[in-house]
Amino acid sequence: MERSDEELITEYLKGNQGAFKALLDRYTPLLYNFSVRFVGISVAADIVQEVFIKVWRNLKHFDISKAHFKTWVFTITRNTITDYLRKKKSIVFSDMETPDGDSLIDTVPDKADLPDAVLEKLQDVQYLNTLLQGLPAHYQEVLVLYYQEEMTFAEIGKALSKPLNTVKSHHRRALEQLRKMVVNAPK
Amino acid sequence: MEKANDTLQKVFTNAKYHPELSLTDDIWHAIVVRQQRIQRIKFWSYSFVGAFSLVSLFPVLASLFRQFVESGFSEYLSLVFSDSGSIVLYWKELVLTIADSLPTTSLILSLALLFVFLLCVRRAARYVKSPVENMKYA
Repeated sequence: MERSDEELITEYLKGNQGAFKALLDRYTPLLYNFSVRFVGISVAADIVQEVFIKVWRNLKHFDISKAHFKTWVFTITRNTITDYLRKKKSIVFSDMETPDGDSLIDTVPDKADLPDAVLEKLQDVQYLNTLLQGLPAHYQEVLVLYYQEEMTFAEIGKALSKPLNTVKSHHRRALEQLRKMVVNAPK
Repeated sequence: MEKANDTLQKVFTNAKYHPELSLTDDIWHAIVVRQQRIQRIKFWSYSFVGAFSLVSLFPVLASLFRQFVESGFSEYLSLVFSDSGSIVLYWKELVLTIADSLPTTSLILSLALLFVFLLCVRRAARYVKSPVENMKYA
């Protein structure tokens, strides 16, 4: 039976170094996929390594009873990516927020349903990834965490330090923008 | 809505980027190397402090013995074995005199150095074992 993150952390803290390797095996693909979307393939591996070194250093301070490991590790990843982009003087996640703030976003009507025609076009992996790259980073991260990492909106909110309603509206807006991009794309 | 959600889930899952197979091992190796370096630094730090406290212990002990002799502590103590009758009568005075004759500073310093030395030996021994041996796969 597969051991839970919490069990592995407990084992590691008791001195079983191999338990950390198991966490590493479990989370490397997830963090890599998340990182690639914001820093590109060439840098993603370095970001993941930096994240795991931070996790390894701070795991003894992590409180299992207060937070999920998955949420924590994605928060570290996001912060590491933000630091990297800031150093590169590139755009950071927060710069891409709307100037009006989240209250306005929350008032956007729910148009998240994607028509079948749009869904069909999105089946093309390369096309989807190109479209995702065209989305603002804060929309991309919500979609990736929700659909690829199967996190709940609440978990995403905690990982990204955003209110639940903001995450939901980012999700709605991201799908709406994705739909527009597919519909308006040259045939 | 549910169906669209499932489809999106599938579509996004197919669009995942996968790392090179060696990435996990590379990260693990980097962590092991860091751990080894940290353990090596700790080992040498404890060894240095331990050796320093051991070397310092000798002159402090020599001074302690000299002060014991000079203070007459051994003479007072010998009374315990030679004149037990007067000890029963004047035990309070004897205890106070013995306590007064103790070279307190040297004694505290010697015990502190001994404590630091033993602590360093214990801590350094923890890092003697190779960290690679500790980092077995789960």
